[in-house]
Amino acid sequence: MLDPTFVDKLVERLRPEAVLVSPHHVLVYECDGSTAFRQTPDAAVLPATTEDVAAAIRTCVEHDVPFVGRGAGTGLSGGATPAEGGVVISLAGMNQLLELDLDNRLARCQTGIVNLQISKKVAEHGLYFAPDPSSQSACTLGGNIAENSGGPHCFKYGATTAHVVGLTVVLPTGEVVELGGPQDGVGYDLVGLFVGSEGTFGIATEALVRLMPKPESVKTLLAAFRSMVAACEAVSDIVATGIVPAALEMLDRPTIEVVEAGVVAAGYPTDAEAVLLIELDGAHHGMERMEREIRNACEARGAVSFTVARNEEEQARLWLGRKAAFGAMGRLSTDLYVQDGVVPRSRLPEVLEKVGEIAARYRIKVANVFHAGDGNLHPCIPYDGRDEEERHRVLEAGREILELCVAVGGSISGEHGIGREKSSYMDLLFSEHDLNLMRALREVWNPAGLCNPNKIFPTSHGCGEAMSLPSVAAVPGAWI
Amino acid sequence: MDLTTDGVARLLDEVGARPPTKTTPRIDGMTPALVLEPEDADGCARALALCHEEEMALIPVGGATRLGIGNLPARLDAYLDLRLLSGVEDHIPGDLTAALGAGTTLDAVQEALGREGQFLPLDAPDPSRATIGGILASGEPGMRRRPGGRPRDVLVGFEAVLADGTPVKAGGRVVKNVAGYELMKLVVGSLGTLAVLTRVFVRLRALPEKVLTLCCSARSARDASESWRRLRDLPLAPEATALLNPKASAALGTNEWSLLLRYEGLSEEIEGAATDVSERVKVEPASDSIWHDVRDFPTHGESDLCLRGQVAPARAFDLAHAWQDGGALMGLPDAGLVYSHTESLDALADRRDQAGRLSGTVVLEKVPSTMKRELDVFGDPPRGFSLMKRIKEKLDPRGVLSPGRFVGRI
Ligand SMILES: Cc1cc2nc3c(=O)[nH]c(=O)nc-3n(C[C@H](O)[C@H](O)[C@H](O)COP(=O)(O)OP(=O)(O)OC[C@H]3O[C@@H](n4cnc5c(N)ncnc54)[C@H](O)[C@@H]3O)c2cc1C
Repeated sequence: MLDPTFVDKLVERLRPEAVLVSPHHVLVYECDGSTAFRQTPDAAVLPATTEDVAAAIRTCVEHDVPFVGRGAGTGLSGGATPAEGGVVISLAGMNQLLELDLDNRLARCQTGIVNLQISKKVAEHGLYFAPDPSSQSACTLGGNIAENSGGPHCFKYGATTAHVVGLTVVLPTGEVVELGGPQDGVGYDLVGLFVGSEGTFGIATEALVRLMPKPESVKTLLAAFRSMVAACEAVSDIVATGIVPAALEMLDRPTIEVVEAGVVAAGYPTDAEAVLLIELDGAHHGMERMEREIRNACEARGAVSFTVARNEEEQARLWLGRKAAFGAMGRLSTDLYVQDGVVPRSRLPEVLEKVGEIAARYRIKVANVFHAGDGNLHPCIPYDGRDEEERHRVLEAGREILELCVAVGGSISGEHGIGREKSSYMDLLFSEHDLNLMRALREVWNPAGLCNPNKIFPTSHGCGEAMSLPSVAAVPGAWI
Repeated sequence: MDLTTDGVARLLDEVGARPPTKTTPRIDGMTPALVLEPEDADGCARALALCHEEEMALIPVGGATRLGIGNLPARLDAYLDLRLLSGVEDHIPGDLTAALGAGTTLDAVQEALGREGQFLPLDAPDPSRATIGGILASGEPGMRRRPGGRPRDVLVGFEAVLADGTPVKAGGRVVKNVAGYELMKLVVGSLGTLAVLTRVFVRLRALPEKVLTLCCSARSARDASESWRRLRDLPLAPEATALLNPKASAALGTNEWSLLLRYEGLSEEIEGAATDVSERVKVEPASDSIWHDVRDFPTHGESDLCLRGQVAPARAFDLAHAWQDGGALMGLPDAGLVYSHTESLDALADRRDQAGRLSGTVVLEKVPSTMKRELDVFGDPPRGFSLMKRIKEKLDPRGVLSPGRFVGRI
């Protein structure tokens, strides 16, 4: 229960309509996209300005109340759940593009702006914002910054961190700092450190982001393979040619089947064991040659078909299957568990084979649809959350998959973050020394520990909590 | 430091420390009492732990090519020479990644990778001596500026030793990874004040099929800026762009300003780009070796003073214009950087003003040690300085790692 004077103070410092306390108003903030972690906040605050955010945080600090920033709540690791109750600070209303600097190709935005809106607003200038998480029609810039989100095209252009040069941050003490800017700075790269800190270093209210010119041409290709191993080997071969596709995505047979059985079949060959969806972008001059090289690489690995989209409509159709996969899987079962491991690209063949073995051993289905170019796996496991025994098997299988990723030199998260979901897995990857170093940094930024507590780091909490299995809620228009 | 104390005796004994020799490099005229040369990461951790116990101030040293950058060391007791931590390990061409000993020279790295048709997209002066650890720690900006192509983006993971000798790691060897904080960004450019890198994991690129250098002559920095703008929306962006003033253009046999463009890619792309460019501005092909001069520019030069101005990219030409009277000048417009050599120490205040008017900052890359006593070579403390200070105090409470050298004399 919140101290009434705390709420009064919030109302006084913000506005009555910016402070929500009634249970049915705050319920929507109880979880993010991974619905297994639920905790209703005591209050939610809807700031309109950086000063509002600072006032809210100062009030929390004065009353020792935990708080967490929230964008669109599409996160997949429980990052925006108020793990210890307290206040959710929703940035969704701070959604303006404030300033466009065409000369330097930079935009200053409030962080509640939806990712895709940035590109839409600058499209008339031939520019776009490159980070493209599949949830980009819903997720916010602030969420992207906190998670260092990727997307299909970050294979070529880098994840969010490569596109953020400046930040306005309200520190967990309530102090407002400006970090970075349009030019190189001196001192430690605090912008780089903040990006990917999962909302534990404070709340970013504004960001200065880089815009890129739209490519002159885009080509979309689809290569089908008789074996998953062959498709994976083709990935390494393509990467080694030196041609950097804008996107390099893979779907396995179970995924293709689900997609093709859906309402909007994309026309993927159903007898294939795997398809590679490859997008090339860049100058028109190099396109034909790139296409030829990619085709050769795929055919050398025994591709059974190779389709080139002839126009935008066909391009969209080839992407359709990839984009519809997640939604189609959602229809398979009541719940869906999406993993997010990373492995070195050259280890993809053996890893996928072993993932298959793990699935068989635990009697679960796994469908793989993922960012193959950077080795970022998304094994999707449909299950029935009401079946306690099945849930347990899924959880165990998930852990084994992550252990496998780590064993081959990979990581436990490529883009969804650690948050609540994977905090108990951090010690698979990091020693106590490594974790203490990260804790030390969190203490510098977040000395009272009130800002997004109980995330990232393993806690001594009973294992019942850590054992809960995240299930992904469908976000309209989004894919994975 | 007194070479007879117990602590020093322990160091001499236990971690094979030795006194400096005639060839030991100096930092601002100083040499330390001891030089430590660990053979591996464990040795490095032991050395650091001992120094920490003795509260000895220590500066990590690689190829000693850039010891001149930074403020005057507040204290200096020992060098930690990292050159024995060298080697290219686990280069996996299909992954475009490699693990490198922090003491490996850039040339050695490129040579090993080149055998497999790949390279590390970092450029630093004196690559035959400069080590990977040193290049990353000094935050050498380099000339490549495509998104995801800055030096900070090359490092995907590392192993290091903290001030008290604790071994730590961060990131990993895969190219996409969000597990844990982005400590890679923190160590790049930290000038050896937070940790000593022992091994780094890096992202590589395939050697381009073709490289083309074009040179566009201009009468002034402003003229060059016109050309740069005209070329900006061409479909193939140059891998690097450099602006040279007439004094720096001598190697090109011209006494005008030069805007250099470096294209890398498939031969079809490059031929197409050459046609596109020549339709918009007048260009001549130039030798690719000019990029060595661009790379080495900050350290090669007879001058006493070398400044690095940092402004928003489109303002680089204005800064070059403002700074044109003086010695050789080189700008990297895509990065918003302008380097200027000058003999006149009096020019400094003016130049800082001029950069300030363009909302930029100035770093003194080379300046006589005597001047360093009065000046902070990084200028006024930057935005977020109090956080920086707290990070330093948290990770190195005794202030033993490169004390005094970094921004605000951290
Ligand atoms: C269908 C679907 C597909 C997805 N596809 C991808 C994908 O391709 N790539 C990818 O990387 N992710 C993907 N995601 C995950 C998710 O969309 C991203 O992590 C996204 O960046 C989260 O943004 P958000 O606005 O929803 O953040 P939220 O979920 O609201 O918050 C995420 C975290 O960010 C913090 N936060 C939010 N705003 C701020 C701020 N202003 N300052 C500081 N911290 C803040 C929160 O505290 C929380 O810790 C997908 C999710 C779904 C549901």
